[in-house]
Amino acid sequence: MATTLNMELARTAGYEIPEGSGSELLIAFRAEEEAISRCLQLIDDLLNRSQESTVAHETLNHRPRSLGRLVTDLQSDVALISVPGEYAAYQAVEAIEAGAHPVIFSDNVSIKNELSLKKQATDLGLLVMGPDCGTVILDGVGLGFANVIPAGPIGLISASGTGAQQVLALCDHAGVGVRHVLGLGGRDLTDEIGGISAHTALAMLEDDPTVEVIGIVAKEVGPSTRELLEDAASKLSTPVVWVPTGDLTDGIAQLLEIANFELPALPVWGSAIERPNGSGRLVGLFSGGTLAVEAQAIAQASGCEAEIVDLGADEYTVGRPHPMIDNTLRLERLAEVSRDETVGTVLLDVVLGHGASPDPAAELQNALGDISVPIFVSLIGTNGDPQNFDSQVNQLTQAGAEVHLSNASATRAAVIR
Amino acid sequence: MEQDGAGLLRNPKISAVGIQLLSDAIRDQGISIADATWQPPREGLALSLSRIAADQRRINANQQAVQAMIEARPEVVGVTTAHQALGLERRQFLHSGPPISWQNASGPLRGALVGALLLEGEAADADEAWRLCEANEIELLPCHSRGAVGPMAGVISASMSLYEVRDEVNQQVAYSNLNEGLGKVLRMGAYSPEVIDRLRWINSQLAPILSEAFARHGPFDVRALLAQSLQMGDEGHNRNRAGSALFLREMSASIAQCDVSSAEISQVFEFINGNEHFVLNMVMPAAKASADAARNIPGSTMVVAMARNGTEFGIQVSGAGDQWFTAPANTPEGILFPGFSNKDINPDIGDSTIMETYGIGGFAMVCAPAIVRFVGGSVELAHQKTHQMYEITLAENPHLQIASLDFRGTPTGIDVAKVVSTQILPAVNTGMAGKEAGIGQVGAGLVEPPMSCFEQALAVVAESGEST
Repeated sequence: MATTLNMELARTAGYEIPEGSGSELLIAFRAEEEAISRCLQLIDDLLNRSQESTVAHETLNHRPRSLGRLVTDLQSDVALISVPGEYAAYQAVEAIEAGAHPVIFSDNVSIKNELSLKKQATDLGLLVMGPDCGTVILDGVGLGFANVIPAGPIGLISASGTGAQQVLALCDHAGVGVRHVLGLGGRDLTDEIGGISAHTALAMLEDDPTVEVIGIVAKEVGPSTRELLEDAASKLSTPVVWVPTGDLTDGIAQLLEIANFELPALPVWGSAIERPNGSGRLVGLFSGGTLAVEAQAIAQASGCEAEIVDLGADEYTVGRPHPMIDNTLRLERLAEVSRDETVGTVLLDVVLGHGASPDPAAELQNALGDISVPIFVSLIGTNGDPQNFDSQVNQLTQAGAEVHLSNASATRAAVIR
Repeated sequence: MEQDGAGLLRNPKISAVGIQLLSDAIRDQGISIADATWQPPREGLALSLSRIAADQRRINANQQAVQAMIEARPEVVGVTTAHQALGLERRQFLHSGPPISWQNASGPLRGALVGALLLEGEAADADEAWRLCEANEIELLPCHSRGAVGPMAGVISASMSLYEVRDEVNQQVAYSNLNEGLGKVLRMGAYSPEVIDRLRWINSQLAPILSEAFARHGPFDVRALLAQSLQMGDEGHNRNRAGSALFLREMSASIAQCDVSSAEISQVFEFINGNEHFVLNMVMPAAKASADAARNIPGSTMVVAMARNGTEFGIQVSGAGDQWFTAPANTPEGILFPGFSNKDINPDIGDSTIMETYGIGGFAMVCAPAIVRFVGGSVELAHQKTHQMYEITLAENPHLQIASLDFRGTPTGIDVAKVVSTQILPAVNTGMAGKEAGIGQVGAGLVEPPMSCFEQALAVVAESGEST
């Protein structure tokens, strides 16, 4: 304390001491002129830091209710938010306030809230991932629906969950690692949001020296947002590749080529050739939204009569789990298909990885066995996925399906039939 | 601001709220992740919370508000009177809490008003005073509306002496009357002759001596006093024993030099020594002067006043101007003086919750193990209370530190959004007044503010953000 005695002692020791009082703190230091402001900053930081943050999380003697408090106490970098949508924006703003990058898994967040969150985060140098963000990988750690893949030279920006998972599946097949997937939510690249998070994500990936190629995959891209992002991308030293959802596989091949790798031949397991020739329409029962969009685009281009349904769309998931977690609704649809003589071919996706059903092939096996027309499956997964990729392939082929790793390749095979 | 992906893209530390399965999937990868124990609040609050989340003013507005309150350095500069400083006239009376009429006033407030009329010589006896009140011959105003605060009934009348507290940092000023001691006192609703005599002695003897002493001593730094007293077992609201002793210690030389008889000086020392809450009426206006600097910041959801009038609990919030958000006051629970029972306790009363608004009192319960019986009897519970308060506050006050929490700053700046989202109510310590006019204090304890005040305030600030 700056008592008369202490100030006298400091003066005797050769310090220049201004006037003070016993209720003030006296801190004396010797420093080069140019280091003084840094010293003052350091003192300020030490005096103002929260003591709680020095405590390891395991020893927190109090389990906070609020996300903001938890982030502050643990100095977390990321806040994963999966509360009901109507509360998600507030939780995200608490995370932003506390200095963490929010990953908003919740859906049903308004455009207005999304826009405001992204603006507030940008002001503080933070990246908002979501809302409705299904897939994120940060330095190899998967959040939400993420496939297991070794770290590698690719950094992905995604506004499409299953689109990103298709990238992961094919990169893994090519032996190329992916270090980050920054999932931004399906609306980020629309002109309403204007790619606010995409711009931040581009800058962050550019700054990461381990990222050699940046991929962008988005379900929906607004024309002016695309223009601005392409402009930003052209100024980076890291190459940026757009992976179009009309043909993900083709885009992934280009992405790999820029990274100096090659996409090997696309694997196929089992065969639908033996099956009676389906003369009716193609029915696609999808759990992944982007995969459904891609299948629709390919079927349409080939002039094939197709009915592609995205069972993960909001209209089907109200009050029940997503088909990537639980196949109940898909099993009902497959049973209908097995009795419907106007169906000539069946196409479906099976998505693996963290967060997905622990054994989707086992759930689907019997229903597929009841179908006599050709069945094509795009199995979106990697060798490291917790479901065991080979066992999923075996169960699906035993049920009579022809299994592809690429959704484009599965769809093409199906439309030819 | 420049984006910094370093924390995000290298070995990120993750917190989560929501679906447990998602956190477990991360744990399965060998990564540690902490879950907040948040649960959705009752239905109907989501709209306000989403609006608040969309309000781009809020983060900065709240930082500005809480920093202004924290950086305030209130000092007692002297003693004045309510007539002189606030222009109070003979039949005008200030009271604690949000606005109220005589008809809705509780026993202790009525008793205090009767006493104040007697003190001012406006009535010859209690019956006449009562009749004047019934006939609406008096004007009632909240202390907060005139830059003042008063403990318990908080009745301030024209002739009463007031401490003047100034904060040079934010250019604020606030006032409170002089503390009368415990038991049969005006602020608890007592108005017997001994009560009125004591008030007359305060005005005629104590106030001039203190006034002279302050003039000699110079401005008295209240924040520095609180910083020390919190480390000496006070929480600054229900326990002011250390603070009162520190005040006397620092001021004794200046008081002793006053040009009055040694008997009169001895009487002052004795009075201060016999009153554990002597300093409360200085720390309260200090807290008010600090909180007032945080008023009227558009978009801020920070509480700038919590106060009770014995009938209603009310709060004011920075982003909602002078509007009060009120709900029926709860009845405190705690320890009663001998001879009283729970049915004697009046609903919550007093402006002293300005201390919790400022981040101490119930918020710093862990500082005052000597009075933990008020909060259920254990030091552990006091710890939990203080830890909970960090969940609903915006900052930690580096000037007021809690020794037993490794000198962590006190939880400061109540955010109505955080209160509503977590459903954690501010912890409030309080004295307990007798229900009937004329009784006085019956004990001390703890009280819960009504959640509805915070929900209403949140809705109004949220609404204001819609139009910006």
